[in-house]
Amino acid sequence: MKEAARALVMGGGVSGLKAAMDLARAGCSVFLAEKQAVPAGLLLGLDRQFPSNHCGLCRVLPPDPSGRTWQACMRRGFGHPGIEFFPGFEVQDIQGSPGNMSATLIRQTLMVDSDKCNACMQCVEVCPVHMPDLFSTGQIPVKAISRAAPHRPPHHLAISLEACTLCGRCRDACREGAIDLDAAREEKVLDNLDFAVLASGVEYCLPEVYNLYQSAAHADVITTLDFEALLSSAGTDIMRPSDGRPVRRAAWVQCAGSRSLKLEADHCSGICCMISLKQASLAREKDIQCSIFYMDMRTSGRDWQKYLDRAREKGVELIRCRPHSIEQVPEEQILRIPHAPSPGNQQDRDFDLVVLSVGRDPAWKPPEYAGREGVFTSPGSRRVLDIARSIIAASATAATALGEDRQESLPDQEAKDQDQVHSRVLVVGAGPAGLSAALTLAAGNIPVVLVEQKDHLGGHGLSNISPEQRKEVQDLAARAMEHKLVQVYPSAAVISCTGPAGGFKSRIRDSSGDEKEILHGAAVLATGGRAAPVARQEDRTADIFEYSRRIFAAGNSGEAPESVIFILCHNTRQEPANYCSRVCCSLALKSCLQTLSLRPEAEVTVFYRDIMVQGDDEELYTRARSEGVRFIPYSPDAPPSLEAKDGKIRVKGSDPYLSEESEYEAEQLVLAPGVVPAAGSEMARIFNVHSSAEGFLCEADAKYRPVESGRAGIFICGLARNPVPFKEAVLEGRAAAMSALGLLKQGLDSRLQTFVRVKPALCSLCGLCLEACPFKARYAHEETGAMAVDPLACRGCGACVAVCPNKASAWSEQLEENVHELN
Amino acid sequence: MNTGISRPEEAGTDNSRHKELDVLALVCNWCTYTAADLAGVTRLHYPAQVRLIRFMCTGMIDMRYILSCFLDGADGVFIGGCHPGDCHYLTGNLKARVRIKGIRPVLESVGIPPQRLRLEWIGASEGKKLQEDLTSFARVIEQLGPSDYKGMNLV
Amino acid sequence: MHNFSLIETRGDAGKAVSMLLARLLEQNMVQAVIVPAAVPPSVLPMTRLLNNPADLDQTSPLAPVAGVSAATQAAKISRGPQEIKIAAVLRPCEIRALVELHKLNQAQLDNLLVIGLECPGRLENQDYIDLQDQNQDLDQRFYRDEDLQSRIAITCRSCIDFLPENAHLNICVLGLDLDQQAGIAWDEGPGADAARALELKPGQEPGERGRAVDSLRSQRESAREEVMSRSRETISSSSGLQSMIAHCLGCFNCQRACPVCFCRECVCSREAFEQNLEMLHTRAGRTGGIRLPAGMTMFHLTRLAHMAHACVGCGQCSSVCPIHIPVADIFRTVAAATQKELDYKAGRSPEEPIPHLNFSTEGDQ
Repeated sequence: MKEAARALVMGGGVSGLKAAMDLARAGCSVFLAEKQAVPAGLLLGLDRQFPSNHCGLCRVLPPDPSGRTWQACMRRGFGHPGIEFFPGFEVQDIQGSPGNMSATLIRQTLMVDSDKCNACMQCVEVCPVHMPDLFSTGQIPVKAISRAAPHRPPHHLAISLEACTLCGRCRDACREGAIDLDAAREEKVLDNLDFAVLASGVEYCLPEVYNLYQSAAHADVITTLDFEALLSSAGTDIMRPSDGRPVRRAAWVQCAGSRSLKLEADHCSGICCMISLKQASLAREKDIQCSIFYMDMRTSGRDWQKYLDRAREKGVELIRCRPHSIEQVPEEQILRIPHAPSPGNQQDRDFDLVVLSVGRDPAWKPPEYAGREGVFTSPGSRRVLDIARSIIAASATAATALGEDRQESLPDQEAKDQDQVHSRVLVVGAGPAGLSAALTLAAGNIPVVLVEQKDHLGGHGLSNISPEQRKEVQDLAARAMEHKLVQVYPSAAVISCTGPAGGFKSRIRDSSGDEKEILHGAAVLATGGRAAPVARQEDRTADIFEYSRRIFAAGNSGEAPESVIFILCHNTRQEPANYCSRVCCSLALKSCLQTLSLRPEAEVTVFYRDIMVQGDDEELYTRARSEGVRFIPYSPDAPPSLEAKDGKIRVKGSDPYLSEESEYEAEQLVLAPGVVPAAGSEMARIFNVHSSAEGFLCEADAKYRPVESGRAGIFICGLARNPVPFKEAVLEGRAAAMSALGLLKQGLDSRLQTFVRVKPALCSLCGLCLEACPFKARYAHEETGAMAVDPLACRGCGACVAVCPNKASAWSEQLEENVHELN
Repeated sequence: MNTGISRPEEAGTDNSRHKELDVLALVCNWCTYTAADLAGVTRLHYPAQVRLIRFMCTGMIDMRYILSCFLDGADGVFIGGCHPGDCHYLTGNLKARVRIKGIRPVLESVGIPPQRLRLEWIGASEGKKLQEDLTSFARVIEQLGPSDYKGMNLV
Repeated sequence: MHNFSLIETRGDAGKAVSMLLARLLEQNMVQAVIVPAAVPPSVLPMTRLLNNPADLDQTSPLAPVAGVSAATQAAKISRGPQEIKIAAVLRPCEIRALVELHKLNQAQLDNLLVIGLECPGRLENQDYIDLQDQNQDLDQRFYRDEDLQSRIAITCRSCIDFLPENAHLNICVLGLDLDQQAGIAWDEGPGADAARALELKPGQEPGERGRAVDSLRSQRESAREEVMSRSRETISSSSGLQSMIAHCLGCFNCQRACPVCFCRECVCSREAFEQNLEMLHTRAGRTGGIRLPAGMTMFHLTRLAHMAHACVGCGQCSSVCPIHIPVADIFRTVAAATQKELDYKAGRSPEEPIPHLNFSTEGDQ
């Protein structure tokens, strides 16, 4: 292995930044190319982000207690000594093989020399090219030359070369000579790259291109991206783009450019439902009447269903209907949406503004080099992801790239154990997430202690219906057993964990019942989940996991019932288990299709609330419908009633489209009760981290630190954290491992910065600082009882200093002189 | 932890009337100071008697800092932090809020009316709100006149 | 309290209570006792730690004086080994202070059997010594002599919280003829266990007590209103406040005597040594120069800011001030406003969280 791997990261949005920071933290030399003039991509336009509805731009960059970089608001810019940043450049091509790759970067954005520019704006004045802009507020006409980002000073101008015609008028208008158009042809070549990570995201669907709802003709039919800009620039009211009048009624139309066979877009973009819910919730705060037209509300994330409930409580109206058109009523200057929420009930609704909820551009394809050897593509560059999943995907991709780069490495870290920081990581749980975490860490030269409750490794991964995924888990388990850096404790349990990050002390009970103390620097909790119990009515009822295993068991020679009824969201997605379990819908659709392929004449009925399939799994839904599966929606207020009669199951439900109650009979009933975390609240207690009411472990920051718990050094992933399908569990495991690896690399760095200290002679041990510290960076020393600070967890907020009445809790000596003198 | 004092010398407004009034704005680095940056970038003016002091977090504002400001002759103290939920340090702004709630009756008892201390949440993108809040606060202080403790040279 | 029992005093209520304490030790209900006792040649009862039943006859549990607040010492001793249970005889204000100290990890309430004393007030230490010379049985006489009672410490005269709360066992003196009988009251829990060990039989509480309590309270309430409105008016301007604290010597006695000021060393007393001289010279250059030692106004305001929510109104700060600054009056006034604003009462309940740690996300600015 070479000293430092040279890595190219393509894309400077949230994914690219995360991948770059992670790789830099792991010791790589990183090159980061971003075609815009400033990093952070779409984020810069999102003043209030999902799911907290708050700004989070100061949390994008990870804290780094070694003090080499520091968190800053992304609006102010970005710098990192381990990352060479190429703003305005896009990768045109990548050649060569891993270890010796070369990339050609071409200019996409040309920056005006801000040292020379005096912000006279003559250049913008004379520029003849108008262009659509992500950050447009609708107030300033956007030209090919414009302000680099909304928060940048006026003399930070940039020219988009995608639009620019190089006519030279701006250069001629500039009296300061700040514009050098010759640089537009600038190219850079990066050689000797070990690998590249593609994290440039996807293109959003532009309604004009596909002529969705004749949007080009209506100024007040905009996209969700445009609406962000309107929100950002809004004061007390949101103004209509066409005439500047305040918006009083707004509609969101879901699936614009997604879930459409006509557009050859047989995919779900995954997060547009949540984007619309967020925007409508925020618009409600401005007293706007908000209606969302939708087909299925895909709240497929842990707290997303609750987010929907909150939006509804705020008064967001949900209308289950896909409108066929939007009409302009010129004399009243309003937009009219004719729709039929129930059969025969034709209605017109009028709005001031219609927002099309756009997703991935149907025609969008990743660049040609995405599939090459040595180019690792983040899932965020294949589909649209929300912030947290982008972060997880980027981290996991960086971990994969790093792992493959380092296959021949040898252990060298044990010696460090004498130091303050232990390099070992404790991984609890050996399902798909835990195994991925353990192997990622081992690939990064970190010794792992893997504790599994069962006597074998693999968890639920072993009963996956997909043979490929079962094989993948078996391989992971075999590799973990063989890896010399992974010490496996089957049939074991963790009893306690004390100490600060970098110096945890845990007790585990092994298979023989003996207790053992383990010193470790970090821990990854991947204790997984299990199927929620079903109150079994009789033999002909099965849960979805059992049924799918049964009909997939014998390959294509198994037996299927002649009639089967599925009831999805059985006692779930409502209190007290108010979340989507994310696995049941696609499992049910696969089971429907398998049932039909085993027995084409079978009668298959599905009672559902919202079909939650994301991405290309949408095809399953499309196929199931085309193959004759009967889908009947129900509302949680009126769930279908069950009855067993003459060896058959009878289900009564009301079909809203037929507006009548109907009865269905079947040989087999399949219920989807969802999944529950297996050991969440117990893990929360042992490791002193938070867990939700449902028992899921809670993350430190729902957006930017999804796999970190609130306690530094404890990482969480997989089903223990939130309901995830198999592939995402693997990603989360890798991402958690990557974060743990970064933390330990930092911890081993002797330059750790401490912000605060405790003066023991003054300390009364009152514990106010323990309460005040938001990061659990304070602890009472195990032996002396004295207050101590964990430098890996402390962020320097000063809450402990402010709360301490006599300043026994004080700023570090280096910082003290910078704090304002008071008397 | 730089707490730089800056006093914008602003032309075109009548400074003489409230030259002797001092308003200290203790603002958080992440949200309100960024908003001040944005206000600067968009060339919004705020009253000249306001001096901005940057803190990493409003949660690190000790009650003694506020006392110190008033004893030292400040006529008003403005504290600007992130909106609840936005704090870079999770709950620093809420700590500031409860601390201010606790110190208000103390100040009021010793002759510093509660209007002289104001807490506002100003997000990073709210340059306009920063301007509006500072302006309205300065107007209130102007109406109240100089603080009772001004010129006492107490410490 | 639900249970009440009368004990015979035979002319010496202090002795009768001492004997109960001795029995608690003998029965091994507790392993030590904290109680005021004057050990010759001193005549002033001071907080004393005892663990031999025979020593109890020298103690003065009912002495109308508190040399220092016993809360600080009871708190400190309670943090000892868990096997040692301690009975502590404490005044209501001392119990309140103990509760506050418990919230600040300075006391271990589980190790204490708190015996609360109904408190008609305490005499200042010097007054007690002087009166002791003139009255042989001052401790006993105090409870029947209204003239003596009118000489209690100035802060006590406006105290309305004279009934002990959060104690396990109460010693009742109001509305009773202490020459004949004293009362003991208790609730379920450790108090009831102690009462059983002391073989106390629950009986009827004399109706006279309620009337005595009400009359004392109404008398105190009007005194308190008067004190508070006077000091409210005085301190509500910078010059008024200065007229009270300008001659502060900077002795820090008030801070050291305060039972809830729990810091090992006050930030202000440390700063007195760490003055930034450059800054002092700058300030000295302003009109009128600067008073030395500097920082005295800041000291008093800091104490108000830090402790107003926790002030239990014991008055020790006023008692120890060498130049008679009415520190406690100022505190009582500011504390009333602060505790009202924070919906908090110092010492009300050990479970009530410290208001400064209540980071609720609810509400606006």
